[in-house]
Amino acid sequence: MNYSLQRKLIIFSFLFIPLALLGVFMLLPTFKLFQFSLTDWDGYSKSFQYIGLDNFKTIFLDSGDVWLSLRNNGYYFIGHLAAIPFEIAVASMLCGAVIGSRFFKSIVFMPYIINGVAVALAFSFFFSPSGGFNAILDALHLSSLKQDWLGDYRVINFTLVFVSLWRYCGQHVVFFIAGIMSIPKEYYEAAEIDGANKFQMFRHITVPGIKTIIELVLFLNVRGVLAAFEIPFLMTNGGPGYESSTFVVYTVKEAFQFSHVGLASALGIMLMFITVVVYILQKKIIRISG
Amino acid sequence: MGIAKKFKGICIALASLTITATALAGCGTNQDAQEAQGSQGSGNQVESASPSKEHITLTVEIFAEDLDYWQKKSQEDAFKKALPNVTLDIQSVKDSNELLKTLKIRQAANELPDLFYMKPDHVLQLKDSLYLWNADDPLVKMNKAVDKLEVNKAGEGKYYGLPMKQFSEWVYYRKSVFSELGLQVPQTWDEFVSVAKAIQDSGKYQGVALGAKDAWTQYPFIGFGPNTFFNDDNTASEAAKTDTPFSPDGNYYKAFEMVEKLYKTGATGKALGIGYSEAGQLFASKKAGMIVIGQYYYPDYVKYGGDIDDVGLFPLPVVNDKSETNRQVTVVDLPFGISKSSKHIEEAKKVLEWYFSQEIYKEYLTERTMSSTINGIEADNIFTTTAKTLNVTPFFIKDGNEDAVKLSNETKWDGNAIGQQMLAGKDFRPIFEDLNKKWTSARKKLGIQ
Repeated sequence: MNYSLQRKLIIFSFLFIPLALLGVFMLLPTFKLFQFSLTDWDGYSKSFQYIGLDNFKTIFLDSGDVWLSLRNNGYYFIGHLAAIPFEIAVASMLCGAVIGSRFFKSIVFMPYIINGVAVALAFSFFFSPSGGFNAILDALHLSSLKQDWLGDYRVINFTLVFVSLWRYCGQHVVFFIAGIMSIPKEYYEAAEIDGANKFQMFRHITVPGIKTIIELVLFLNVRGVLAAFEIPFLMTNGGPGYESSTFVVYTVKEAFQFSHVGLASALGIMLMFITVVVYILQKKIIRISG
Repeated sequence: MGIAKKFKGICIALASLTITATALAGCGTNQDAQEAQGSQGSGNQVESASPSKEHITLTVEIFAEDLDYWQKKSQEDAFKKALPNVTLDIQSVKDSNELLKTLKIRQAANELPDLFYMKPDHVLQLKDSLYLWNADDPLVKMNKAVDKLEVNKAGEGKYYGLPMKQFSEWVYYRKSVFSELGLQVPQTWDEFVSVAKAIQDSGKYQGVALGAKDAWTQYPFIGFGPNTFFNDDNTASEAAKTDTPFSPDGNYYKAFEMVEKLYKTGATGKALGIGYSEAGQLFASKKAGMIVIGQYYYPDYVKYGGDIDDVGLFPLPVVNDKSETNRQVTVVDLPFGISKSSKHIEEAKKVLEWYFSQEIYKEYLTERTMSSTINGIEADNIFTTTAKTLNVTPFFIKDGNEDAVKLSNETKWDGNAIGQQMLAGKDFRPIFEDLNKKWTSARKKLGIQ
């Protein structure tokens, strides 16, 4: 056996298992997703029929609630997008000489570590009509601001976005802290000698220095908000009606409540495309804006 | 150099071995799977096989609320004596939706549990995977509710499941609130709405505790109303025969109008902000005057510290003419299903024999305040005692037939979700108009006449 053949054999051998796992657990389900999206499978019958692109037609022409759910994803997207400057500012402060910064650095990540189900249940009680939040408003003599936070369709999505921000902002802050700490201190020293103030240093050193992290967080934001599931599912189950449903909550209902696995598969494919398209658009906007 | 060559040789040999082993494993047969398929193919023929003496583990899927009882009882000597070679792997789910999801997923993978709870509306969706019970089976003969559930009938004297319990729907009320406000037990639906409003208007108590964040809690109104208000036990299946069942002259529309009356009084409070358990606590802590729910709430009422001397019961008035006898919904619930691909059907039946025995079943009925489905075993609880004093017609609702289920899925008809929208202040009428259009085209698409 010559050296080249041995080399190829070794490479192939060691790649075989990871590739096989990738094929079985990723490629095959993806292929099946595409296959089911063209069928009317109900999820439990032994057979199904191929119906072409009918599922996609149904989504675009006959499923108003899909678009309502997607609109609700928009609330999460805007909320998390708007929170990024705040997250960078917090990270920047925690990297500076703030008293107790070590303590705050560790505590800021806590919400992300706590089990999502526990978070959802805790906030369900907190935002219930006789829950903690309304009690706080009472204590502050702001009773006129009391709301049915999880029942009124005018505020329900804001409540859920707040919970989502509470849970995930800490993770982003930790990413930004890591990015800021990787910026050489000499840059700041040089800027200080040149007479730059704190804001100028933040604007011209910190932000460009963590550009890669910002891109990462933006990507995680797109992927995360489009896949938003546990918080609305556990706190409101998408209700009342579909007022707080998200794309994935809607998809799960289609698949398991109404036995439309074919349609749900088509929704899954749409989700993939929307994620890719929004991400590409976002990247282009970032490039254009320099 | 020599060592390096040897190392390379060992690496190649190991890698080749890995591939060969993987390939051989892939080419091998899965005896278990074949056996499972074989037993699936033979269907109910397994019934004739005698129980094996080897030690087996049966998978049982139940509701979380019954988990403690099952675990406790299956550890007792009586179980070990009755089924010495059986261990139960008891799995639980939170509620009906989760149960259906779990069962459907497992059904698709041909891995249904050996024995499991079903809700009546799950039966038709699982029927192809169910062991069929013969009418002459002793377990069927002793079950007095097996015929009361229309969807449970598989034809030719066979049944899909064995109903585990029955319960009725009640209005629980706080006697002290009624006497403080000078209220009488209502006799008609309109009176019920007025009483709810009067309690709410007192400013001290909520009229009706309702945890509509869990949409299902509205079923005494939304789910059963279209049947009970109009003395029609077959509304769902009848709807499948018409293009526009949500029109103003239909049961659904008229029932939703009646429920709307209640919701618009505001007597249900901020129902969308709380779920079943919070609503239960609201009533138990006397912050609400009434709660409308099944018998299963009573143990929770006691658990939440509710005063048992202060709680009264009456059936939800569904009539509007006092001369008409009121109707009270009795739900025949949780038919036990056995998977037809189970390798241990006989043992699963033995488990049911044990469960439906006097010692086990009667204690369950007492603990959970349920009514019996088994001849010769009668529950003795507050509900059975109260029922004896009432002049009321027991009312059994038929679940929708296969056409109705298909149409409901196709049009995504979900009354409880629409009820939530009503509570949020939306009008159900435009939703019904849209549903009528969807229903018409769904009937056409599915070829339902």
